[in-house]
This record gives sequence, structure tokens and C-alpha cells, in this order.
Amino acid sequence: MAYHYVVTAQKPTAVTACVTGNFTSPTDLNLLVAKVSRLEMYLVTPEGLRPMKEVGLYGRVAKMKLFRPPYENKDLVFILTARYNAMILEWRTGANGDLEVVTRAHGNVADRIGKPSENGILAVIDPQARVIGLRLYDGLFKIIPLDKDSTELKAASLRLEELNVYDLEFLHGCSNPTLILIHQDLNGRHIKTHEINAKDKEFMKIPWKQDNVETEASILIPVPSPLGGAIVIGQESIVYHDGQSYVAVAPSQIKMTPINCYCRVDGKGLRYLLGDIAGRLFMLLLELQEKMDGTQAVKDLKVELLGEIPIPECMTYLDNGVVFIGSRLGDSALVRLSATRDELSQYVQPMESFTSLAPIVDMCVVDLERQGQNQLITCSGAFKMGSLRIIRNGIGIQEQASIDLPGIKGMWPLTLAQNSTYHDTLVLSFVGQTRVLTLNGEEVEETEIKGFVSDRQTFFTGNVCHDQLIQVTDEGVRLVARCDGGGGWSLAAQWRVEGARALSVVACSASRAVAAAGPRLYLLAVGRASLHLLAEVCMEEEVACLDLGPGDEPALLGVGLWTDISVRVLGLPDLRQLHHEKLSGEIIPRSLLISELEGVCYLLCALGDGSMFYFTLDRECGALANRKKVTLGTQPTVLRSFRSLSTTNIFACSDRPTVIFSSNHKLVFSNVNLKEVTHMCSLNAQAYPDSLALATDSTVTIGTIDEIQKLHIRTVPLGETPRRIAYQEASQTFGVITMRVDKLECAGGGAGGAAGAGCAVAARASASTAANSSSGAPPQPPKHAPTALDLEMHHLLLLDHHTFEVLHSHQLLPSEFAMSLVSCKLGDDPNHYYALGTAILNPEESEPKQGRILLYHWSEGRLVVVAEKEIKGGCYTLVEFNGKLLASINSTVRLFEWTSEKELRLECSHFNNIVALYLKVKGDFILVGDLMRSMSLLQYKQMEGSFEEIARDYSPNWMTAVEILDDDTFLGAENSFNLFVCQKDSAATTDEERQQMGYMGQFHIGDMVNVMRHGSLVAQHADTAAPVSGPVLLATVSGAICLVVQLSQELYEFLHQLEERLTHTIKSVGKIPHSFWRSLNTDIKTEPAEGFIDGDLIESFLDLSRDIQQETVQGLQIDDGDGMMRDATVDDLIKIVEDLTRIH
Amino acid sequence: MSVMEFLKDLPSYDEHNFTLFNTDSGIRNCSKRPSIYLPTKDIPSDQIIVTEKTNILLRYLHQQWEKKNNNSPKKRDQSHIEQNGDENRPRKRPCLNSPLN
Repeated sequence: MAYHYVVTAQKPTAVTACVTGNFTSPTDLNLLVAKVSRLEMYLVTPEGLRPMKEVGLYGRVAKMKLFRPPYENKDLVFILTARYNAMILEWRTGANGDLEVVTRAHGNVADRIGKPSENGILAVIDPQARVIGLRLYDGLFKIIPLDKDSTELKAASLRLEELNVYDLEFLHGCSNPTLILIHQDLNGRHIKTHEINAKDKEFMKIPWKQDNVETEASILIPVPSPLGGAIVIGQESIVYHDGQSYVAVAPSQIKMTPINCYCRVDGKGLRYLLGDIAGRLFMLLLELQEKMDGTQAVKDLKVELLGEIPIPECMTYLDNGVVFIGSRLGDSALVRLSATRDELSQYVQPMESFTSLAPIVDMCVVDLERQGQNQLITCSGAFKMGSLRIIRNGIGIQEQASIDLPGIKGMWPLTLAQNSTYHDTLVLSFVGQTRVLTLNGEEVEETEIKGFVSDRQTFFTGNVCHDQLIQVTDEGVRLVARCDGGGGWSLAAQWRVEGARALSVVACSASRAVAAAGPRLYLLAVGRASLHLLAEVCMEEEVACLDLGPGDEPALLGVGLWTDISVRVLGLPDLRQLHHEKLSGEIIPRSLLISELEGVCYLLCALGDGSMFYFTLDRECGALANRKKVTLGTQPTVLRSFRSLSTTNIFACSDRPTVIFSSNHKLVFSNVNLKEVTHMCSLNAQAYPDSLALATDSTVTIGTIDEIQKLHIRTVPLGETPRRIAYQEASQTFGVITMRVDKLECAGGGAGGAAGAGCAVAARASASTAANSSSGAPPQPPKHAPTALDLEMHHLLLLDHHTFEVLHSHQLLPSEFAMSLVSCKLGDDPNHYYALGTAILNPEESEPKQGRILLYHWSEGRLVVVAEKEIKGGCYTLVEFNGKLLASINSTVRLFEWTSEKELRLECSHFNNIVALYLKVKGDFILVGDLMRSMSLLQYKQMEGSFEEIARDYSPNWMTAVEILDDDTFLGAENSFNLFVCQKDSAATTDEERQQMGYMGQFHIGDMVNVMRHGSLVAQHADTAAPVSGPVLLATVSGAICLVVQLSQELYEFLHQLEERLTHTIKSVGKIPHSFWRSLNTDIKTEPAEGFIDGDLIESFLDLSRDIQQETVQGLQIDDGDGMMRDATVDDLIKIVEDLTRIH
Repeated sequence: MSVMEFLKDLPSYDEHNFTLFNTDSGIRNCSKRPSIYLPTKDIPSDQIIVTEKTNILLRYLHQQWEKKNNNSPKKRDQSHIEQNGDENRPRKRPCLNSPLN
């Protein structure tokens, strides 16, 4: 049996629906955004959108509509999921002031029979909220009359004689709910209205209809009363029709690309916004005229281009000209409409963007910085929104302010104002000087403190006891006190170091200062206007770094020494040595810190090469224990502690800044999204509360730190669609296949003579046009489809692995599609090549009959085609396999060897697939994912030079991704959003049994998985301890990133119990049972989930309140380590679940 | 110009909304995420959505039958009278000895 844990590391980001309404109170203006299975509620405020609550649903949102029943003073939401769970939700403020989501009505509206419509689910609500209408199956229309008083809402199906319905809506201002629809028959598309008798549940009559509207009419916009009627959006024309009058326009701007969404701007229904699939925003204005009888009628429709927006999936007008644009193909955005045009002469200005990874088409997992921390580079977005995203686990710093100041050697905050809890001063030290900055609100200005030396480098300064300041420089220690009467400062006491050696390192507490000059250590007591030497010792070697532990006396002092590379722990007040610890190696310690995190005292010592030792420190006897070593960077590291959100954390300043924090009594290391930090200090100023000041070589940045362990996403915009990515370490490049849509521009009539002679021109600047160099086929007219206006040009781009600069762009032939890419090293050839598989498309053929495999070599800024192999089909996947090149070409799997003549020679083939879409290899085994015949396992027989099919899953699964988990276990994802695990049974007795892969797990992940890769985003540090193995990352169409890991049977069974309990503890919004959501569901079957633990549910345990956790844990048994079972405590569970959260 | 007409007096729910939105430092990236709602309180829903189980054809036939019955009570009465007029005994007799459930 196989046991797995699946958890979401990055939630889906594609926006599938959005609505604006008064949801959280009758006066709040809210934006509700649906992202696949999650709903996000925002409040519109003067400052912008304020996030309120996020709700997870146990279903994919297929339709989301708002409505307001006449007896309500705020809006409700109707949601229908892809598996036909309907619900009516209300947001309201609960007794304790928290927002809660109330399921007002729920139920499943699926029918046992019926053909699901190919045009998808349509849901509409009558403007007077009398009835909800659903088109789920062809030929049927389901109505749910909204009857306030009954406990049951009885849905009923009506026969709809129009089979092929493209859109439908309810008309405004009708005495009975009246439907308008666009349908298609053999003659074309038509619009038709139906009046519904909600009581008798039947269609009554057809008030009006209009045959033969435009052939591509696809969207209906109902127009509010008093005008009524509807607008029909087609590919080329826009029509207003109300049964009597008919106004049509055919604006030239909309001709090129279809309009796919709209939103109404004003309540009267005269202004609309239209968005098209190229990401252009149009206005649609209804112009009125007065009729003879004094009523208004539509005179004309005006359509104008307003500007560029993200390619929209949905949009909604918020307030004061601000519109939310939801996208599935890239970042969503908030834009403002304004009458004044910007420099690009657009009426639309972007205001805010909402990061989205969707759709992730391919990705690679690389450890670019070689610190054991993987980064994920995804091919995200499409068309003009195509991009690469660099995703890594780390902590983000939000920059609040920055000052250009080079050469900072140290920074400390001070409080100069009396009785203030805020810092108001920042002291910066440089070589040979010290500068003082006053923080006055958000303003920063330079000042001086009387008694401070400014012509020397400060080693330490801070507020100390008796309302005094201390400043330590190489010459000694200065104590600065307030003058009588408050305002000014003056020197109160001074201690100078004797002898030739100047002070070099220092540590300070409120009443003690320890300074070292060469090997000599001095302990000073800080009193009221006095400094006196308490103790002095001479160490064996020179002191490199030191730090004082908490407390005054007794207290511990940690010292790192030069030459013998050791750490000593001394006891105050007599500076007696308590512990001696040799550090291995020859790199000297550079920074030492003693810090208490979650009640455990640690001593950390960073070395000059970026590595760090850390120990637990016994506060009583000064002994160091539990020695561990990690690598934080490559440069000398400075350790500083800081407080954030009332917990103490440690910041390691280096070329790879790291935040070290304690979680559940374990140290966790998390990267920071900054390139380099040389010094830092906490800063809690009035204008910058709970902040950090961070210095780089040239700048000081003041910023706030966000919550721990967040995925950090960086965007590399491409402006064209990325399809595949491969990493080549040898050439320090990424290879990326992109697709660019070029416009075909017709050349002058006389030039070529032949009709359609034209030239493809890039529609806009993008990665392939902006490359440093380019090569490949020159732009030329395509042989096929000469009538098409758009031409897809495929490119291989080479990007620098650090800067992501496009070094080279190589264009493929017209009508040649790049399908697969791999970096490989073949045979005895020492070079690393990019292998590219293509298909040459002919519109008349059902599948490609021709293609090429191309081998490229990138060196010294030149891309050389090393080999080219013609193949009879499209090359869907390429994999390096035993020094050879394995390819799936249409229905075949073929192995090519690289001969000494530098040719690809076919060695063997396997033919038993419909379309072999995916290949994964391990040793001699090959896992093949088929278009519709699930997965099969091949073995390569090296001696015979042939493939043998060892096992196969005989279920009809349409695969979207496959991966080999271990020698016997295989993970597959299919197009009904399910995951399943198959296992081969080598020990079976009969051949027949051996050839069959058995199902070992199934789970509805609720998203389409496009790619699977071995690896994890978490650094493999010493302190991660969840007992899981074999992490595989999954990326989806909606921009989610999930992680699948293998579990032991014991842990699986334990977590399964917890999962079962949590399904009762956590109430599902919409009342969809968890077991229903996670059950494997395809067109032909629904079976309970098994073999998988829903990590998202498990991890929500940590967000429950303590007493509910207690309730959940009640009676759960846990193995206490030696086989005895005992009752699990809340803390046991928190520890287990927290360990699990740390795997992603 | 129609664009100006369109963009003039755009609807405003609260004129203060978005007035303090700061775009000085370019396009902002929304990094704040809403907190997650985790319901543990069981709030029963007021209404259950149920699907009528009757087959659509059967319902249609029932409707037709009812329509016929409702629309033609007179006819039946007439036929009854006619029947009574033409023959003394009715064509069908109630089956008295069969158990009613």
C-alpha cells in the first residue's frame, strides 16, 4: 500500500469570477472574488481594497451571482460548483464582531441523467429575485423559485427546446420572469425569449424572438428598466433589441478579437465596459432619444477603445471610476478610468496588481544559489501576460523608506525623548566617523548629540540604565547623560582603554559593558554618571567577537577567538571560563550572539565564510550542547537579534540574508527577499512602528517584515506565451520555449504577386524581439492557412540564470510548433546540449505527421545547431535517458542514441499508445502518460536494445501529468481534477496480475495539474523533522502549487483519524461534505478518496482556538515512541502538524 | 465625444472611496491577504434546495391530464348524461369486491 500527504503550498491565483455588492453590511461596498475554490471578500475604502476574509469551499466555483431579495437590505451570493452543489451565502458580523459566512440555503441540483452542456454551466437570477435559472444539461432548464417562507426550495427542470444555448439572461421589467437566450441551429444563431410560470414550473409563451443574429453572437447583456431589452455582443457587431426596436452597430475596433466579458457601470444601464481576449477595454454607451409618447428609446450604440488591461476573465465596476479586472492568464488588476489620458493616450490607468501564477504550464526546480534551497521557475501566464516566475520560500521585507548612504559599518536605534517608548534616532557608524539621524515623523534629518564623538567609528551605542546613553569607540566607552532640565545631553563619564591596543569589539546590556582590545577583555559596570572596571582578563588568543547573555549578574558572556577558532563561555562578574568549544576548520568566527527564543537559550556563532554554528546554552553552568552547523551565505555574516510582533528573532546579515526564528522550540531558517544586507537593527519609530533598518553597501532601507515562511514570487515578464523551460547548469542558462502571436501584414499588391503574400510582424515588443541576439528562420509567409490574420511563431529563448536577461532568441520555421525541451549530455560527448522537439502543423491533418528534433549548443554567446533529425510526428516530450535521448512522438516512444558522427540514430521504439504525452524515467524504467489510456511502465533492455511493457493501468484516464514516486509507485493526474497512485506488483504470481497496475490511492485535488517535478521548496536544514519522504511538487492551471509526500502507514493512519475529526470540527461553508469534495470524480464514476491525507484540512488545525483543538483531540491515541499508546495532547498534535507545515 | 460623455460623472457610491489610494510609487502590488475564515460553529441553513424527482415527461403528462380534466368537466358531464340517456346501465361498473388498498 502507498500513503501520501497532499498539501497546497500556493493557493490558486486565477480569478474565475468577481462581483461588487453590499455584502458585509447594508452600507459596506464589497468586492467578492472567486479563485477556483476560494472566495476572497474585500472592502472598498478610501485607501483602496482592504482584504476582509477568505473562505475555502469544498468545490470549484462554476458560477457566482449576486442578488438581493426584496426583503433583504444587503446582497446575497448564489454559488454553483462544478459538481452541481448550489448554495446561497450571506456574510454577516457575528456576536463577537468577527465576520462569519452563513449558508442560507444549500443543496445538490445534479440530475441522474442528462448530457452536460458543452457550452458549460449557465446560471442566471431574475432581477427581482423571484427565481434562479440554471442551464446544466442540454435541452433542460432548471429553475429554483426563491420562496422565502418554505424550508425547501424546490428546483424543477423545464424542457428547453433550444438545444445549443450560448448565453441566457433574465430580462428586466417583466411581470413574469422572462428569459432571453442565444441559441444555434442549422441556420445560425438566434435570440429568443421565454416567459416562465414559476408556480406551474413551465414556459408560458415566447414574447418575442429574433432569428439570424450574428453567427458569432455569444454574450447577452440585459438592460435595466425602464429601457428593458438586451444587448447582444457578437464578433463583429453589437445589437440592442427590446422586442420592438432594433439598433445595431459594427464598430471596426472590436472585429479583430472576440469580446469575452462585460460589466455594467451605472444602475440605469446606459454605460457598460467590454473586455476582449487580447486584453483591451472598450466602453459601450447607449444613446437615447425621446419617442413620441415621451418615453426614452435607444437611438445609437457607441463603442470606443479605452485602453489596455490584463486579459480579462471577468470584471466589475467598484466605485469612482475604479474597476477590478479578474484574469485567468496572469496578474489581475485594479484600474482607474479617467477622462485625462496618460502618456500612452489611454483612458485606463493601472493602480494595483494582484499576483497570479496561472496558468503554470511548465516549471523546473533548481538550486541556483547552491545552498540546499530550491527555487521554482515556472512558465506562467499567456500571450501578452506571459512570464517566468521565480518562486522561493522566504520572508519578505516591505520597503517603507530608503536613504542613499554608502559605507555603513553599524547601526543602532536610540530613544532621546523622555518617557517615550518609540525610537526617534538612528545612529550610523562609518569608517572614522559617526552620524546621527533624527526621525521626525516620516522625515529624516541629520543632527548631533552633545557628548557623542562624531569623528570616530562607533562600535556600539544604546540607551542604558539611569536614562543615559552609551557610546563605544576604539578609544573607549563614553556615557552620555541628560543635562539638568531635560533638553540637552552631555558627557557624564568616560573610560579609556589602556595600552597600545584599541577596542575592537563590544557587547552591552543595560548596566554592563564588555569590551575587548586584542586578547584583553574588560567588564565595566554602568552606573549613574559612572563607569568602573569590574574585571579584566586576558584570553589565549585575540577576541574576534563576543556577546552578553541576558541578565546582569550572574550572566554569561560568549567569546569567539581568533587563531584557535574556538568559542568560550565566561561567567560574570569574574569572567571565569565555564565552557570551551573548538569549532572545526580554519575560518575565524566573525559574529556571536546569545539569544533566548521561546524560553531556550541559544549561542550562535557565524564564521567568515557564511557558515554558522549554533548550540543550546545552559544558563546555569554555561555549557554548550546540541552543536549544529548550517550554511547561511558565502560572506562574513553579522548576527543581530530583533523583535517583531512581540517575538525575538535573529537576523543574519550576509550576501544571503536569513531570518532565524524559533517555532515550536526549533530554530527555523528562512530566506529574506533581499539581495544583500551588511548591517541591521530593529527600529520602532512612531512613523515606522515594528520595523527594521537594513543597510546594504549603498543604502539604508527602513521596512517592515511580513509573516514567516511565505513564498516569495519574482516576475520576469516575457510578453509572450512560455511553454517549456529547461535549466542548463553548464552554460548557466535557462532555455525557454515561447510562442508569440504575430500579425500578418499584407505586402503591397505588386510585390509578390500571389494573393496573401505578406509578412508576419510582431504585434508588440516582447522577450523574443528584445533578445541580445537572434537567429533562425526569417519571417516569411506561411504555406498553410494564408487567410489567418494571426500567426504563431515559436522561439527558443536562452536566458541568463541570474539576471534572466534574454541572451538569444532562435525562431523556428513558420507553422512549426516547439513542443518539448530538455538540457542533456549525450553519450561520450562532453558538451551539454539543449534538445528541442517540434511538430510541423498542417491544418488539414488531425495530428502532426512531421516534426524535428534539434540539438543546440550554446557557448560563448553563440547558438549552434549541432544536429537535426526529421521525425514522423510531433515530439511531445524529450528526456535524457542513460546518456541517450528518449522522445515521445505521437503514439510512439522512441530512443535515440548519439553516435560518434554526431547524429541521432534511432535505437528502439515502443508502440502501444494513443498519444504518448508524458515521459518520466528512473534507472531503466520509463513511465508513459497517455492522452486517454492512463499510465504504463516500460523497461529498457540494455542488452537487447529494446523496450518491454511491464505494467499498465487499464482504466480510461485522460492524463495531464505523471511522475515516478519510487520504483513501484506512480503518481498520475487526469483531466477531471483527480490524482491517483498506481503500483506495480512485481511479486504477483501470474503474468496477467503483474501486467496490471493496481490503484493505491485516489483523491480529488480540484484543479488541473499540468506538471509534476521532484523536489521541495524548503531548505534542507538540520532542523526540519517531519517524517515524510519523496516530495513532489505539482503545479496547476489555476496557478496553485501543491506538494505530495510519502507517509509511513502509522503516520497515515494517525493523520487520517485527525482528518476525520476535523471534518466534524470545521463546518463546511455551503454544507458540502469533505468526503464528497475529495472523492474521486470522473464522468463515469465517483469513488471515495483513499491513500491520501488532505494536508490543507490537517493544517487548519493550527488555526483553531485552543479549546476547539482540545475538543478535536479528545480520545485520539498516539504512540509515545516505544510502542505504547496513550492519549494525544493538543501539544503533541501542534508539534506534528507544525512539522508538516514546515515541509512547504 | 462619446468617450467624454461615458467618463463624465462615473457612478459614485461613496465619493471618498479610492481618494487616498497612493499611486506615487507606481503600480502597487497587493501583498496583503485576507485572513482565513474557519467556521466551527454549526449554523443550520434556513432552506434546503431539493430537486424535484418527478421525471420531466411524467410531469408533462400529468400536467396535460390535469389540463384536460380542468378544461373539460362539462364534456364529461355531457358524455355521462348521454351515456345515461342511451343506455340504462353504465358501461363500467365499480368493482366492489376488490380491496381498496
